[in-house]
Amino acid sequence: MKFGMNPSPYYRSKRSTTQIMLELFIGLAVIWICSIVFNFVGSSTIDGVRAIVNPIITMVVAVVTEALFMLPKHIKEKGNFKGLMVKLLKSYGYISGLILALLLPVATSYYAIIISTIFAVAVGKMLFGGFGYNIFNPAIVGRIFCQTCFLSNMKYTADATVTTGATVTSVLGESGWSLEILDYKGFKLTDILLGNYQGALGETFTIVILVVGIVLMLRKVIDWRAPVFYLGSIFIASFFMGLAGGYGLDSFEYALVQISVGGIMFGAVFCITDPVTSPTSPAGRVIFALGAALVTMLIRVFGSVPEGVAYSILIMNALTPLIDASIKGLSNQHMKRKIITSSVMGALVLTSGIVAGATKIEKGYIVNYKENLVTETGKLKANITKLGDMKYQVAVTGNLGVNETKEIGEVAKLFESELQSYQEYFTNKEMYSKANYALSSKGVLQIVYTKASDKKKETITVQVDGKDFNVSPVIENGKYFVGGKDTGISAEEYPTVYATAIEKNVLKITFATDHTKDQELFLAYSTMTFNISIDYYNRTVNKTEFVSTSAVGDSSGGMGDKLLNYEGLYKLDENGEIVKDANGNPVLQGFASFMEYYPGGTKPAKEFYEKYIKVDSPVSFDEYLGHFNDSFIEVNEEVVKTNVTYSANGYMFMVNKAIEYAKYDQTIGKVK
Amino acid sequence: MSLFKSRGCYHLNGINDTKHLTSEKDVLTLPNEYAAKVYVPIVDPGKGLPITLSAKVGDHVLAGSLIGTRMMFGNAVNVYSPVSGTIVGEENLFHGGLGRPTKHFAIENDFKYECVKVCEPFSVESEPEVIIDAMQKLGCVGLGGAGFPTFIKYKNVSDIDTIVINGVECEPFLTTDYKAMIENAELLLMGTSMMVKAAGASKALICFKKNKVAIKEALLPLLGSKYPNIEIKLVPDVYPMGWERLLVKTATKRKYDKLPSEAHIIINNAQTAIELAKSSKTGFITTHKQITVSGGAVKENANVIVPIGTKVSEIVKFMGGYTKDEGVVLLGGPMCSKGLMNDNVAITTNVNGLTILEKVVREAQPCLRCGACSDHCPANIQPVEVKIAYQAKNIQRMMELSPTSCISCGLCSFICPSHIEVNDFVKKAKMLVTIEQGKIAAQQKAKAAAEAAAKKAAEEQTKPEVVEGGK
Repeated sequence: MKFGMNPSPYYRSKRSTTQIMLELFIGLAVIWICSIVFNFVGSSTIDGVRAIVNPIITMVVAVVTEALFMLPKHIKEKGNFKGLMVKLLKSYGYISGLILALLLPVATSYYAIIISTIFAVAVGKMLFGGFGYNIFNPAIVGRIFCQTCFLSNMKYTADATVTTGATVTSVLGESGWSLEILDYKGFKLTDILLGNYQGALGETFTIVILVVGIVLMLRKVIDWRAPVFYLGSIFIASFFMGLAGGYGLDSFEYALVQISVGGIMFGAVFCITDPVTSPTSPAGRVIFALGAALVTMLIRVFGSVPEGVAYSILIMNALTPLIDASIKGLSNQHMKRKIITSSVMGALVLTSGIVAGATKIEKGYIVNYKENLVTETGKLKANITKLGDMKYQVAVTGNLGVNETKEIGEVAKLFESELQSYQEYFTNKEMYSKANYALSSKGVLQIVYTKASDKKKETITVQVDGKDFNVSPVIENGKYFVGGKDTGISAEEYPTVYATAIEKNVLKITFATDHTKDQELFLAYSTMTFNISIDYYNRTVNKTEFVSTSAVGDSSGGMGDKLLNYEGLYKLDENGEIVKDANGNPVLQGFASFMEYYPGGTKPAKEFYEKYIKVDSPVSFDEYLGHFNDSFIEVNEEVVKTNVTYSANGYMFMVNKAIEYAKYDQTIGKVK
Repeated sequence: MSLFKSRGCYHLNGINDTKHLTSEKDVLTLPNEYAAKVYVPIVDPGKGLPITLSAKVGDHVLAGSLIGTRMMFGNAVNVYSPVSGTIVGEENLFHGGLGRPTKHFAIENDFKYECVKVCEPFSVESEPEVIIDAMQKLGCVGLGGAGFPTFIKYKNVSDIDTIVINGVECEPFLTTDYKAMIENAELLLMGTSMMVKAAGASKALICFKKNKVAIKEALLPLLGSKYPNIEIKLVPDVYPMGWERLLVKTATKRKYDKLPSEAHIIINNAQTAIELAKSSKTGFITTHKQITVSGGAVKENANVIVPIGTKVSEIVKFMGGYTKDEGVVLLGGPMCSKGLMNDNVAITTNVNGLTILEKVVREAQPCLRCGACSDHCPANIQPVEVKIAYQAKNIQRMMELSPTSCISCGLCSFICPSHIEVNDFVKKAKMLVTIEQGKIAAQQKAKAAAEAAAKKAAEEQTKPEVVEGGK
């Protein structure tokens, strides 16, 4: 026998780098699959296909780039094709490619993806000597390259106009880091944790990434120290950030949101753990992770980009040799130094959180709302700017010589939501009863916050030509008086009126009742909507047009449920009889045909009411019809202008109108 | 899970499969024909210097006849002939411990195994001095692998309270301690209690891995009233559990800087205790050694009792020969041992196994910097950093990382997923650092001497001046 003489030991672990990398690949593939499912289900087919295609493109491009770098040497050594394949397999370019694809938004243009991948692999990895020698995490290099060069190409959905600016993190960053903004924007905590929102392809699935990370840690594919310290320190710092910002116990939720958004979880599990670009020693990794956490917090809250994760990892990558060199001696020596360094780092992260919370969080901040309105008389721009807690300013500029800035009063939190989602305001009962707005002819707007549960205290002061009017609710003889005029409306029935500008010269006026106090009534609250064309300058109503009526019911079995729940309605034939199917069951019908029975409609309302609506209601048809009194439709311009409480878009519209009106000189009949 | 420190140990995957090759097989005895000639190295196995001979070529010797003495820490350690026969000449044989050819006495075995009493028989009741003296006379050395003379551990110690018997055997393939402990349970306990007596200790801990249930079953019935001061201590199945420092830490939670005696502990191999007990009855030296012959590249795997001094080639021949064209022959387990250049090597007392493996060529990949080596090094070294410093020839950094603490356990190379010879780099760095430290020490010495001389000269120069100034 020939005697072999390789160095001891002669007994080796079967675990290889290739195995580790393949396990990592499987972990990444799980995230990839999640993103495919999300994009198919939650977005569109195009996005779903892109979710499949993007990682394949990046992986192929990465491997091809590596092959090009390897070829000269390979040809010189006269290697065969199989040898090259083995080299490529063990260079793990496809891992970097996959990570990069998961770090980029799904609808990023193809050329941006391809060029970023080439840059990542060529400059981030191969120029340093290939796998094992690169200083920077190639995928992060690619991501930052893409962000720097192709920002406008980084779209989150195929048909989106939003670019990378509109991630949850950037929304938070632009909105005073307030937790409320998430409700306002419609982000739920569960969605954020599950990844049911738009973000970079793979970074959103917080819980899945966490589970994959734990599995990889248990399988010793990644070291536990870096992710645990990175996530842990950011979590604790964010918790204290929330506390300093005044969120109390909600700080827990705040911290959860903070570590869930902006790719922190993805970075913690797949990027910060990249062994090649992080320190080798256990203590070094702890310091590395804490440093990355500090930089992440600083860039996030104090920097100009809300996505600090990628930069923090890149910066710490650059510091890795320094950290390695600072860890001297045996790993059980200099313990005091290691503990002090880590504690100081941890304290810095914590401090950054507290300072960020104290200085940057604007609790209650909803939106810095900006909207441009075009009116019939020229271009007027009204910007509402946040001044402080609940204080807003309206600035109006335009080509009519109008250039005014007015401070407007306190606004309820939810008022802001209404500004955004006026299309939906009737679905939120609380919303409409909480916020009422009024407008004065001087353009001074006063908004009075009222509570739904205490309607008696509701006051809306409107200044019209310098004269005060008590608007709502002035109840005399059971009628609703606005601006000293009898509206003929039962106060119980229509305490609020909303106006919404839907197009030039046309207001959508909605009358809403609130019967929540009186559960006996079959309507919880109901609405009736008309479009009114108004000539503002001549102050005449040109045309009124009935649009629809709807109701939101409570569980007392009112019409509201039936109205809003399409399936609760029956299809009717020409005689008003319910159409029945072969089994004798009534055929369900949509909302539109049902509306035909209502005032302004073509079908006998009473008949229908008696037959189908008043099944379990004590209210007679005549009483019921009170809601739809035709005479009421004739809302005159006076009512609209001074006595109506406005909402949402209408509010914006009327702000302009008010300013204009102030300029309007009645004596000469034109604008001053 | 230690945060900043390394774990310091690792469960070797598949280690118990390797042990099962031999653990359930009967112990064989090497037939006489394979030990016609035995070889005794006549150099110091530690330093490689020649020993003081008291026999010469042509002499007739008995098992126990003194061949020579070597000095260790100022104590004479006797080297005996393991068999009876005639010294037929001096031969140059490869020495496993020294890793180079050294001079051996070749003794032609007369197969009579006539023994000489080197000391009077003794027992547990004997005085400590008697036992220690007998240890020295018997030439007892540690049978676990290092071959450190046992009596030196016991001489002039005062505050020992615990004897730790090391039956861990954490190397893969080796089962000799396991088999010996089961078959000689009574002797093991006897030898242990002698050691307790010799050291003036109060108790002994017999340590072995917790998955070795058979040892526990063999020992438990014998313990109790007869050996009240002996305890069984089960340790986890990790590597390098058999390393003194780790074993002492695991079994007694004590730490020490240089020697176990600092922690009031003496640690001995299980087979050392057994052989001590055997010799105590007769006063004869240890003539045979039970070794494990195992690995993938030998036909038969078993524990074999061989006369000390038998050639490896003869043992392999008895075991059916090699089965592979190219392989590695190791004196000991596969983790710590260095490969032999040839099989013309004599078995010495401290050899506990013969591992014969097929040669595996591993292609090293670039270092992943995963830090697994740093995370598992029992000596808390950062092998990957040492490797980087060595490759960069940065001697300053190497010295910072103190590779001299390396115990060559091989765990770093074992665990490296990129198949890098990490341990080799650490060993090379260790050598460089040792040389550098020697240089620095010499420089400092020279500097100190020069300074002293300069000072002296200056003093001599200034003296008359002072005197003159006084005038």
